[in-house]
Amino acid sequence: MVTVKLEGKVKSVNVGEGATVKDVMEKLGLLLDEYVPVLNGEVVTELDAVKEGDRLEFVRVWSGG
Amino acid sequence: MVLCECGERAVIVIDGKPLCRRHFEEWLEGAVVNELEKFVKKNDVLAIAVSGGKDSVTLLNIVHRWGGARFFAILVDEGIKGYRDRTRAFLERFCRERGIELHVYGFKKEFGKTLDEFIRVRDDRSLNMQACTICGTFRRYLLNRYARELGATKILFAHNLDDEVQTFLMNLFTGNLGQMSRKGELVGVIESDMFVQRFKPMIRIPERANTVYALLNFPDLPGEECPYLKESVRYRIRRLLLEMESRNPGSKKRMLNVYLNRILPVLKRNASGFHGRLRKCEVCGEPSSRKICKACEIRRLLQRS
Repeated sequence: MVTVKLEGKVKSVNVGEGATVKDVMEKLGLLLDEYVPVLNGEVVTELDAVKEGDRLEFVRVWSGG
Repeated sequence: MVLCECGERAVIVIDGKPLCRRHFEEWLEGAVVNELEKFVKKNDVLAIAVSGGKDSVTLLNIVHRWGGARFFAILVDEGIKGYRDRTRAFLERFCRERGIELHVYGFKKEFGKTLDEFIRVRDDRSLNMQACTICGTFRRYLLNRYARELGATKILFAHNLDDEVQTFLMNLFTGNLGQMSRKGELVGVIESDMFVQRFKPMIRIPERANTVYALLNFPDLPGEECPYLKESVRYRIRRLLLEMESRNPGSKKRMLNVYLNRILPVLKRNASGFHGRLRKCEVCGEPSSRKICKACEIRRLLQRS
């Protein structure tokens, strides 16, 4: 299980061995270009691996600047 | 863990290449500085249009560290409660801590109402006008007028790759060739002492990259979106492009390159056919291609009792 924080809500997501951030995004129906993944407090890439017990937050690429 | 070529942990993938924080920041800052060095002349005075959001704070930070020209920041506070007040507070602190000159102008003082109040008038009268049209017109008007009065020779906008491609598509959908011919790094085709040249040094930087840069460098920067965003055409086109890019990485970059390298030169050669003669607005005296400029027209429409 990975704890996922998304748009202020927290949920648990089952991940298999060797799963990546991209796999979690696909599972949640998130667009790659719309979110920045933050794994255990660090900005990471979509290619990074996730494992049991990880905390994964998706920060939305907010418009306007 | 995904690693950068140098062996450090990667924070983003750019053009298929994982980059660590140092190499990512060198890439982003280097791309912006290249544009600055290409387009900014030695005696230029730069007015940086800032909102306190991720893009303009990133641009301001880069220009400040670059130090290649005199500059100051201009914020137009349109008066959106619970949104602009937060980004403005961040920006004022950001500028104070770095000794950056900041000038603030507000819709309320300049036009008599905040954007929130203009929107209430619009809704009461059931006028068919997007909030972005009101806001964008008034914003450009104030930026040009005050940048000119403060002696700026260029106004820098932090429009990113996503903004530029969205604008291209919006103009394509409406068939607005005049608007399309004015884009690119340097905006505008009419030279006049009344118009301050507009320059966009970040149009090759994806919005997502600016978000990563902001998260790494300004963790306390407010990340809210404008509450009027969802009523805009831009919002719908943005959704379309996000989906396209996620499924076909590199789409936005390819579109921008086609636009800048193939379409824009043709449009610029024919630009005289798209624009009217430059004159002064009969109401306010600011430059306009019409008898009454768009800002005065909107103001009259929303203030008439």
